[in-house]
Amino acid sequence: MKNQLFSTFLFFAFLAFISFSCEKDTTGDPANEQELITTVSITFTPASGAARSFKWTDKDGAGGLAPVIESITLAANTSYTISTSFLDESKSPVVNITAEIQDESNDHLVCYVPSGSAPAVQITDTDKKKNPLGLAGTAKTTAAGNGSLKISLKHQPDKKSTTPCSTGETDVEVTFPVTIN
Amino acid sequence: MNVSHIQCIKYRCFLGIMLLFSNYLVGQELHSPCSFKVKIAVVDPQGKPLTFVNVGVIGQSLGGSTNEEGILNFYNLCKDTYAFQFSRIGWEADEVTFLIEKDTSILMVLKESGIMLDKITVLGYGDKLGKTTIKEVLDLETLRSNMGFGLAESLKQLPGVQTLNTGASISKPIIQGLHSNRVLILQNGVRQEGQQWGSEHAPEIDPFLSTKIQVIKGAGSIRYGGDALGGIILVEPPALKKEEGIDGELHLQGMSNGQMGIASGQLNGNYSLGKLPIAGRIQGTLKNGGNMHTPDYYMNNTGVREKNFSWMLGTEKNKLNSLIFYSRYFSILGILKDAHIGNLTDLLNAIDRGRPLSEGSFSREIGRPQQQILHEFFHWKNIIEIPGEGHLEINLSRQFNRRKEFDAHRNFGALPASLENPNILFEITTFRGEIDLEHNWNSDFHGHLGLAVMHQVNTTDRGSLIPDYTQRTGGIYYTLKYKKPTSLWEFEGGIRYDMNRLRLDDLNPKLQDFKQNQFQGFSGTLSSVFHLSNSGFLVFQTGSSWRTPHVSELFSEGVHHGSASYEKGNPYLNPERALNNSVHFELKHDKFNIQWTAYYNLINNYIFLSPQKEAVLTIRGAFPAFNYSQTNVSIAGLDGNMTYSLNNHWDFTFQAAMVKGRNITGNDFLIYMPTNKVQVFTTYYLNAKENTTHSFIRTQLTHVAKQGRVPADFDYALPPDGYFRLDIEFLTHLKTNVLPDIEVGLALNNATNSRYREYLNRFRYFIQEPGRNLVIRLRIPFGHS
Repeated sequence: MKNQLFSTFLFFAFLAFISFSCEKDTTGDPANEQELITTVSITFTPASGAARSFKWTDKDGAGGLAPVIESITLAANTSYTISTSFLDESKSPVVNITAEIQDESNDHLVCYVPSGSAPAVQITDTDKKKNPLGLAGTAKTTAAGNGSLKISLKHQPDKKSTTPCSTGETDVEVTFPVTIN
Repeated sequence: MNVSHIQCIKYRCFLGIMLLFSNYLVGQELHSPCSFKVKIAVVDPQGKPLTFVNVGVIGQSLGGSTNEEGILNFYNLCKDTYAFQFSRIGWEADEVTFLIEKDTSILMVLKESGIMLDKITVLGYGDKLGKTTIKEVLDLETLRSNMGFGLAESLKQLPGVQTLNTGASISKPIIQGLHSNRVLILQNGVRQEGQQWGSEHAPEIDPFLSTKIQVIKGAGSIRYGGDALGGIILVEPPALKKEEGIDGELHLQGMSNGQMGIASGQLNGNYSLGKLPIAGRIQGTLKNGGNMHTPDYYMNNTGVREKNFSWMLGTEKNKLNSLIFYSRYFSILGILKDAHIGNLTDLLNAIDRGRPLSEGSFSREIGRPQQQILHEFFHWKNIIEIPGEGHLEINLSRQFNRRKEFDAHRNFGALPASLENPNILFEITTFRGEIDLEHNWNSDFHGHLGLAVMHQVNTTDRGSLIPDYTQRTGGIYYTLKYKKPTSLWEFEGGIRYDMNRLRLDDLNPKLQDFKQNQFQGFSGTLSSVFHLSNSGFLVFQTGSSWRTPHVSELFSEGVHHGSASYEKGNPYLNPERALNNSVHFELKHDKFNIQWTAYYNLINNYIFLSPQKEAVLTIRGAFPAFNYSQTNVSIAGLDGNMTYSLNNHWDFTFQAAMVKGRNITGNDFLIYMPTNKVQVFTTYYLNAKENTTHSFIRTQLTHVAKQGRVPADFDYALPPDGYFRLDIEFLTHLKTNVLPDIEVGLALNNATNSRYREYLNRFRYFIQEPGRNLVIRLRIPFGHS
């Protein structure tokens, strides 16, 4: 009888063993880090005169330190060509993500929404399917005043939609204050 | 024999309780109104007379014990219905109701509570919940017809339970307006420990392994923990096979919506190893579903896979019962692609659109975002009989839960095509030990003394939503129950002390000041039952419970992409403390079956996400900020069920539930409280319903009102309109020559294909609820069962 109890116990112990050995805690691998966009830089180049760049930067990501936002200052009644770039300044050296956006241009769209005196932006570049991309453009300022310019980067937007900027997933959405002198 | 006796037999048999009786017409001569004689004989299943069985009449001061021949006589009874209660230590108590209108003899068969493998019924007698606990039991037929939809959706059939959903695939139960960490789920009597804090983390339990699911409402049972502010869900596998041999059953289900297929089977065996009887079961479930659709479009990436497996092995020797239970749950859940948004602008665009961008299409492929969840559960239960006292129960268990979440969301760059590296990975390992000792002060006072300890380690990899931690808890409780067969009253009270030590194992410098945390407190319940008449009773229950703030509430910080919000924990949170008060009424009388529960719960330091004035500015745009805060709240509600059986063929059931949650401090409503709900069931039985192989057609009409009780300026969209939904079900049994009867079910859910949204679905911003669904299911039992 004792033998039987003992063998039963062994059997249970064996079952317990195989159950426990099924799953173990995996040790912590380093995070599979993806690229982070920390900075949006927009450059305004007038027909004559020096180009000026303005940056929207949040190097430590969401939360933590507040972002640093430069104010866009432009001259009144002037035409500019615009180029926008996206950077990861949390890494050293700084990673320029704009090239990747160019590579996957069909899946991206940069949208510009002005308000107040800020100028409207005409997109001049296209993706591989000849749809607008938005890394380059033109703008013409009018009278002096204040306003703001919202720049957003959309991933997988529906570019055939009548309002392509309200489709897709937003990767970036920043707002610059704008002063026209 | 009169008719009421026959009904009684069938009812009893249906419940699986052994009861035989015979009725001799002693004499037909005229009696004065109060002169009937009732002779009660109590025997064991072998027919041997049972002495010293206490027999009482509920609601009357009549009673006594059986003599050496197992007989007790009652004299001078009036023409009335009498509910006789039978109890004896070591034997299962039972109750039976008779209409006495002539001299009657009753033969009652009592079952020994210690019969081999009877004890290995999952809960054991120790937790056999009495009337003092306010509870609802999902009946087996309803459970079987809903288990294909998951645990929470099955529970939704009870009037006191609603669900919090994330799309069509993730559903978790809400009891008395509360969910997640405020509701305990027990599998085979042991607390399930996963990542239950998240509102999109569904319970990791296969409903197919269970034949009984009960819900304890409010703070009714402190045995399972002092932190069940909302309630407790008990998921119990059936008892192991008692006779030698092998049997089993196979469930096959198909659903048109999502083209879901489910196969689940189990095999039960009992075999004697010499003189040692061994009983066992193996059980498994496979589930495969693709994209579901609403009346207007497909919901992309809403497929589901499940692979579950469990086994149980039990034996008994002398006074020891031992049972081992193992279960492994694995599921892959697709999450609606359109619900994945980058920022608040995207969310507002989606709400504005009111539907996904594309029509979608059917696919079984599950891409990103998705969840992969593994839950492993190992449990060793021992029950030792202590003669004259009751039982000692010892539970040891180990659980492991791994949750992988794969985002479609990325900072930048292409998404990894493979599903090897999750964006976030939680692993939690829990060891629990529990001891419960039953003892009797005398035949009227029964006590339980218990001890529970837990050790838990949680790690979070890739993504620091919550820190790594180690948690140790200890609890001790004592409950005392007073029950006397002749008394109109029953009482039960309990007190419990719990301690919780939480240590953070995280290197994050921000958390170093909060490495050691300790919480402790008492909880208690007091419950009394008053028997109104032979067939009705009232329960008054009051209890106080408390809950330690969860690590996610204390320390989480980051953007919650599902809701486009920035959520921030608060390390200075205090424990929540609830005062629960309930009144429950139950009446089973002839054609009526009524149950109502009213409750008023006050929770101090209720933890919730409070909206902040300042949004958090990120490069993705501004996110509304929410901080975990505390306030005092009240939750009041009423839920109930009324069934009227017109005859053998027609049943009508009315169910209703109402909850009102108030933020007392902020003088506002609470968000995400269940909406008023009314359901009407009409059942027509083709043959008599007492027939165990009956067939029926049932229609279920559900009305959910529009939620009007919402806090001001808290939500991105207004609550959706109320809706009606019609479900139709047909069930029958097919006779076979070789096998037992096969159960066949056909159901048409959302039969009118109505378009509606549910307030308690977090994806209501993006999509409608699923459209029409045709369900076909078979249950094929085999073996000699």
